Amino acid sequence: MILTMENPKEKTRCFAQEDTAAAPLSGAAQKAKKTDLPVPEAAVSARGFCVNYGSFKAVKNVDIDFSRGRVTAIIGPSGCGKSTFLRCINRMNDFVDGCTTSGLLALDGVNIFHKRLDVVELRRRVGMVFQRPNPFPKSIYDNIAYGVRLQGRIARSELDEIVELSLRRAALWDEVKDRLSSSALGLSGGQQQRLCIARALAVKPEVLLMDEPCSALDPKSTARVEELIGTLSGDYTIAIVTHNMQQASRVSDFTAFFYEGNLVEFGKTSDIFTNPKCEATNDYITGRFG
Amino acid sequence: MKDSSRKLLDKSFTALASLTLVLLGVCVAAFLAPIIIRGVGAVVFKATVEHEKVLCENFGRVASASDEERFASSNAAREKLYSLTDSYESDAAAQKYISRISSLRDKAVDGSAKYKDELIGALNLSSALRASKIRKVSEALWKDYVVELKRCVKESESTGGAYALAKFLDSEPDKLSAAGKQISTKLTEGLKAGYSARSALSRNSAHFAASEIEAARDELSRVNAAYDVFKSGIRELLGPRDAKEKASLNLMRQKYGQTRYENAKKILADDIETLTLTKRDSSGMETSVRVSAAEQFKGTPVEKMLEVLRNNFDAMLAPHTSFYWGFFTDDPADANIFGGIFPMIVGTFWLTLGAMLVAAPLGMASAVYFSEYAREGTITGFLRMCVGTLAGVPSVVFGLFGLAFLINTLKISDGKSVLAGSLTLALLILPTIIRSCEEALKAVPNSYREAAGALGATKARAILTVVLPAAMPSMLTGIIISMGRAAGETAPIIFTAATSTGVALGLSELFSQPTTALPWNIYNICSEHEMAERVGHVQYGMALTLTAKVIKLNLAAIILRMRLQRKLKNR
Repeated sequence: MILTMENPKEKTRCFAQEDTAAAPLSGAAQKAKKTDLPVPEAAVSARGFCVNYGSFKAVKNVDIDFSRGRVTAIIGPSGCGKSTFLRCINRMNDFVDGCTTSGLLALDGVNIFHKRLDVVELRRRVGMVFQRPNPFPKSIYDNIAYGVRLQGRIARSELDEIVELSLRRAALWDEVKDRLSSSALGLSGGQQQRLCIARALAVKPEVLLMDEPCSALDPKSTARVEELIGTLSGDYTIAIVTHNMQQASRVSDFTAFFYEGNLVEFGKTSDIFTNPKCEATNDYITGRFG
Repeated sequence: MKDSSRKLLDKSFTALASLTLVLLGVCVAAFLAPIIIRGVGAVVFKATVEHEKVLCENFGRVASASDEERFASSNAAREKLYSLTDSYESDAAAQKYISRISSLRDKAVDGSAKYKDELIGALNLSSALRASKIRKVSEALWKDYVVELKRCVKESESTGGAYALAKFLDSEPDKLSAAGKQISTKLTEGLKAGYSARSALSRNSAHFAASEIEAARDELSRVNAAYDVFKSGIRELLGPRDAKEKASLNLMRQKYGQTRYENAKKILADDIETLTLTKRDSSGMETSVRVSAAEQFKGTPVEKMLEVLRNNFDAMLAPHTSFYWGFFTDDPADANIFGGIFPMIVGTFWLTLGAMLVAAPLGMASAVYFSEYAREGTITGFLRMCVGTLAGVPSVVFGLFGLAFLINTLKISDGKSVLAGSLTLALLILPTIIRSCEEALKAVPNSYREAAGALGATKARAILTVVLPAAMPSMLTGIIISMGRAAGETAPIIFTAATSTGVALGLSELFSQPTTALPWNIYNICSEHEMAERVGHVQYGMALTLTAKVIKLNLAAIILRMRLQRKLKNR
């Protein structure tokens, strides 16, 4: 092991505290020159957040804030707990047996793990895109409409509008508008992933979680998805887990580096990639381990 | 390993696999070919005119012009034969013998005067000697009569009239005893003879003739028995001769001749050309012997009948190729000898449907529980073990369970019923359905569940809207294949639902009435039927229908799966 730490908590917490205090901004204004602007308020924040799988500590005592309308990349070697952390934000860990959490994880100041929290509403507000494109074996239209229909009955014309808007936002409309009723499984991998993004967007979420969205895609499709992330930032708070350093540096405003369940370093992407404060971060982004 | 030996190994494996495939094909062909060929014979076969008669008189068909023509021409052809039998049996044929015998009887009575002294003298003897003396005298008295009787019997056997002669001889003993009385009265007229002497005279004076009559009747009945066997063979072949005879018969099979040409030919060969006669040997044991009709009747008028029958065989039966689609829509009549298998098809349909209605939802629900909700633990393990054990229980045990628990304990019906049978079948196929549905559900990628969950679907909602639709093709396949099994299962319904005869049941009768069903009736008709070989076509027809039903279900499963998958994948 390259990284040696006697007391990981002391040495690896190199938080850029000044970033968390920021004024709210509108999405449109941010997009213009976002890196120069002060950091907006946090949409998702964690304080002393831990996740355990039985006795195994997957995420240890994480403090982090995802800024509203910004893209935050989470990087780190495999098994470092970054996906686990991401999945907790819309309580996908509920599907895992024996998964327990402690500490605080809040969406807009509301504890995500509160007993009386409406999980369905939470998941509407926090959308998720998975590693592999996973459209349902239904038509393209039904895929997009699925989340909307879960919220109750809706007029067909309204639904049509939402479907079109979502597909447009995911830059897929022009490719599929003539075959909305054909199966989503007939699309290419890149199209399927954009369909999944459109499906997540259809329920009008505030936060979009992306768990290695491009790892199963070819470079061309990856470029399109990255481009899409660029256009979506500002309107959505995006958290993206990626193994691709270049991708993280290209699409994100902030970067968090996880290692063995700890949040090692968190800061502006430009800072992390050009001037990492921790040695471990430096080793990881320069490819010396991981 | 050397390159050459590796190649050899590869080739031998390929050869082995191809051989297995070929063997499999041969086995399937060998299994299916007879069922198909003979089963089709239940619908398409060479029918005789009797087939149309049965249809018109019992199954509400209207005779077409060609049918009427066939009836007329076959009746005309039969008339030739019947006129021969009529003349053979008529009194006229034996008239000359009857008059000869009668006149000789009278002559003997008249001639008794000649032996008056001897007979009267005999009356004075002790009673023990008296009878034998009178009999001795009567031997001479009746000599001419007996000789003529024997000659007549002999003659009638070869020239006809034996039938009427036998009938005539039935009353001859009475006439002889009357003759004895006459002789007694005539001879004892004016004599002071006691009653016992007179009755001894009357009893014994015709004794010799009477014993000869018995011998003649035995001889004639032997001849006529063969003729009766021959005639019953003809009736078996052509049916009763006229409406009056038909009305006197009870069983439908007696009211019609052979409806199938192949059976008719068999009857001709087995029951007419060859006769089964009962022979009594010296010790009095009766044995049946097979004799050739041609030999038996050689030189008699029956030989002519045989010839007419052979020459007009086709004209009498009017064989023609017939498509009997009613096989699937007609009720059976007289233990399946006539009619179709409609009630069995309907019964199998109800049983299968009932089993499906119970087992499919239950099996799917259990599968959803096992695959989506159950946490692996002791209870789940135990439940799984139960399902596995249930799958291994022999089907006959399910039948007994249905009888003991559903009918005797729960009393869901008084005795056998479609309901009880359906529930038993449902229980039988439940483990299979659970297994196949669970496999189908497990094959649904977890990512679907995650995606649905991430969009805010609750677990139940995700199962209903995403997991079940995705698993549906495989689930339906499993369910339909189980349906095929339920349709063909025999043992469970023997105890709970099956009966050997009956009509098609309506919806309201399903809860209380037993039904006929293909699998059970196939067994029944093959092993319990008294004329199993005559209904061979029904056996094979049923077997083919059942096989076709199961194959159709399996094909439907394959097609349905392909369609649903294509729909899901859009290819």
